[in-house]
Amino acid sequence: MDVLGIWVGAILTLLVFSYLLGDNPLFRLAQAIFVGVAIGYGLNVAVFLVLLRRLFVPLAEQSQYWLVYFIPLILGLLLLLKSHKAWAPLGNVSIAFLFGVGAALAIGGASSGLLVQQVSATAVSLSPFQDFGTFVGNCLLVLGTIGSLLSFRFVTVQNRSVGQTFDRVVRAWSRLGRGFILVAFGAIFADTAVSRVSILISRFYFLLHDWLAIVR
Amino acid sequence: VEGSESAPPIRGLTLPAKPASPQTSSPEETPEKEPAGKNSQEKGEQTENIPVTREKIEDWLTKLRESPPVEDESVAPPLEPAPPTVPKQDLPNWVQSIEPQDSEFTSPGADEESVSDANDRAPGASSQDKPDWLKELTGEADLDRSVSSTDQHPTSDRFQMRQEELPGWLRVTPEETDVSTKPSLEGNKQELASTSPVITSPETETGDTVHIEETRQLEPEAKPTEEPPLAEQDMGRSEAESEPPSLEPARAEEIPPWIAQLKPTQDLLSAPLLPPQATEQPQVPLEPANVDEIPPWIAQLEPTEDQTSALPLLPQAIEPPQVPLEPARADEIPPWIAQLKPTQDRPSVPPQITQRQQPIEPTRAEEIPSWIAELKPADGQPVEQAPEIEGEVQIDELADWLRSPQLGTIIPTMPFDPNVEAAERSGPLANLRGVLPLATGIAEPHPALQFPPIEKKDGAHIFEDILAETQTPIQRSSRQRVRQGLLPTRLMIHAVLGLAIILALFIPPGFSGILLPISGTPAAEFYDTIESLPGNSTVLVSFDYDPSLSGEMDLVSFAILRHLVQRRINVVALSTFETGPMIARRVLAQVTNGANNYRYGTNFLNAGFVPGHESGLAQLATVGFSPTSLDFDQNQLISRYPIGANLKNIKNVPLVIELAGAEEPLRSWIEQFETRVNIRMAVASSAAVEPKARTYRDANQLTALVSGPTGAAQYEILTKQPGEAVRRSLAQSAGQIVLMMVVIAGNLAFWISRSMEKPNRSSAT
Repeated sequence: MDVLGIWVGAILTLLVFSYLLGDNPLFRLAQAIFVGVAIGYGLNVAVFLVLLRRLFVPLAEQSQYWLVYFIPLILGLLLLLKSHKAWAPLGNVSIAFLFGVGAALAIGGASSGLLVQQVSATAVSLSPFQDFGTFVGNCLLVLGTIGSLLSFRFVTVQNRSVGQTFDRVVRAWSRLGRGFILVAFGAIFADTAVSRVSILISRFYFLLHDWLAIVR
Repeated sequence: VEGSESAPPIRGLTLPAKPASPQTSSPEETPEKEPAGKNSQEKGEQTENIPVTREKIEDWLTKLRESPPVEDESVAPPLEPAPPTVPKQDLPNWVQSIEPQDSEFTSPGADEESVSDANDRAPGASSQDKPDWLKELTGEADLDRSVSSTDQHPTSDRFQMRQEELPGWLRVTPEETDVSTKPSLEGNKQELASTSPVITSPETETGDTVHIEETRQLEPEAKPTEEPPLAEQDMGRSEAESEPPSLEPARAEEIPPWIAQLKPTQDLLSAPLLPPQATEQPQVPLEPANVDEIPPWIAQLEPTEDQTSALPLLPQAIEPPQVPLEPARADEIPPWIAQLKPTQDRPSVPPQITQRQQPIEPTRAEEIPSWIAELKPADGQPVEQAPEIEGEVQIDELADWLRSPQLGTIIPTMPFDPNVEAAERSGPLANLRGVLPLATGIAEPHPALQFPPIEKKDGAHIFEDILAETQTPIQRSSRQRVRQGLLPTRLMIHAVLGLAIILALFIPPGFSGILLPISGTPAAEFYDTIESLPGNSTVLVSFDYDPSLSGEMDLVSFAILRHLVQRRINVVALSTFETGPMIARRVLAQVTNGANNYRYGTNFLNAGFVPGHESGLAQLATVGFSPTSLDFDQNQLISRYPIGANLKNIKNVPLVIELAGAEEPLRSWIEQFETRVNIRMAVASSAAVEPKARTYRDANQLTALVSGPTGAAQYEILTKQPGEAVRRSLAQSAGQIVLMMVVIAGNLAFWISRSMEKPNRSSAT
């Protein structure tokens, strides 16, 4: 069974590699196989791991908690009515429930778990009486964060000497922040390339080690 | 009215839709089988220079005045006795010349009655009884024109214009007319037979047929000249009943517009009598009309003996009943005819005569229809002069709008029915239909121009039409050329990258990982975090990546789980991805394979899929695993496993390890789980997620972070279990070096090519 799986995997890998020569039916065949397998597997999980395990089986076996499982069942059935135009408004209840819960979770999690934590993380010490590396790092962190925020500033101050001076400083700082943003984008691109090269190496290693067994 | 007179007589544009005149098919105007054009022309030529004495007209009008009105129209009045024949020598010269010279033109009445009879049939008409307009006709005014206006034949007045008043192109001699008309009559007979609709008229005694086409051809001349005699006739009738001053000619403003438009224009009056092709008709036999079938209104229109005698062209078969011409009652006269009566204050000159006296004025710009005005050449644009034809109309004599050479070429494209009227064959109006003669436009309802219906379309239909249009493929030659040019380059990059990776994989594992830094790395930090866990503790490991990232994420997953198993730490695997439980099963199976006393349900457990993403994680943080949760491998309640006892309170878990292949599950864990429960969290991510996960690590939201194949190799070295990550590290380095070289070479090539293009652009400019 393992040998069959290795051969199937090797053939599908070669079919995918054929795309390097251009779009061809072999690549499309492998693509269709992967999409079909993913959809089939996802449907299987949804039916057996979610509906049966978490809804119908507990509803049948644990009658004392029937109301806890009956309400989600009704909401799910109403959601199915969205496919029919005349009965679609009945499904708005389920949609409203999903959107309400999702928005509440997203807003609450973003504010408490992300925004506050990230802002507080930038409140670092700029005192020179600390480790030089930490000092430089903190300075770069502050300059980069404020500069990145200033790069999205679209207003200017006019007809004031002080204002013009402030505007020049802010403009220079925003250019610095834009440079930080570009560096961050470059880092993301480089890490993405590293990730994809790693996946490519895994496929070569599979072909040479598991299938052909010429690499130990 | 004046404006309409000078407007071009284009059929369907200037003429109103007037019902067909009953006189069209009346026997009065139905000529004989001979071509009417010839007859009319001959008559017109004959009457052209004939002087009419004042006494003749007075007698004729006097006789008309003495004719008693008919009391009962249903009863046929007795026929008047034929007037005594006037000796021919007593007739005026112009009447003698009217007499038919050829047997074909003789009518039954013409042999017995002469034109002089018609004039003599008005006895007792004195000059003081005549209206002013008749006095003016019989006075020093142009007698030729007065005779032509009172002539019963509609075509005779056209040729009574003085030769000096006519334009040069109209001054045709009788010989030229004969030459121009006769051959065309014979030559175009078949053509007109197929194109001209025929209305049957009473058949003549000789079996000859009279076709309505002849009357149609006469109508352009007949219609304008018929109305004044009709008014005159009505006026004569009414004189017996009412006072003559009541019969006044209609003022110009009193004439209805559709009648005013019926006036012949200068162009029409000055045009040749008949188009050559219009004088032939199909020979359709005509049936004689029964007298009883004739409606009274037609019977009233039939001429009296006097009138028939004045019509030399009356067909033989048409024998009008000998009903004396009765003056019509005032209440029987239609209002539109009554309006045509001459007035005292205005000269009772028929309008066509005054029109002839008026000089031909060029058409004013506001009188020209818009569609013709568009045909006029623009200012400054040279007008291409049409070639002059000998014997034809001079271009200089035409109006400006007719001089445009575009008129004859554009108008024929209009969808006229060719069966209705023939087109002009020569002259500046060549190929135009419906311009001449005017009779067809007056007598028949004008067929509407058959323009294609304009369909109103809304935006949707327009969009459908746009979609329905045939789409021409865009020329992609340049793109294909670029692609063909890039194909070898791409293949070369792929080949170099593949060779570098494959060759690196053949390097013995002992050389791999030697140069990797270990100390102070994130991997070491992560390693220390695992080492800090108490023994027999339980950690949550979330496999949040799909099979497409397993080639990268499996390295770090194996490394971390081996360390956990090595430390005898209990592992509960779960996933927010549908495919995560299967990956967890595979990884745990390989890691625990061969591990002593590390059992499923006791030391490790696959809790399976956690649905709901954020809501599922929020529920897990607040409630933990529900009592009804089943594991993935054995489908049993988690609470029944020994390891499940440690999960009754999720806060008892010392560490959560997130194996994040993407950013979304990591953010969900941070936002929904980490902020709700104060549990340390370590993340092992792919290299692509590391920049975003780093922010959480810098914010101390994560305890440790290890990412990518490099971190996995470092971790393997730290755990002293070198595996696949270490063996692939050299290949990873080789691949990254190749990518760096490609990026650098691409940038250099771009800069060099741009620097080479700049001198070319500067030299070109």
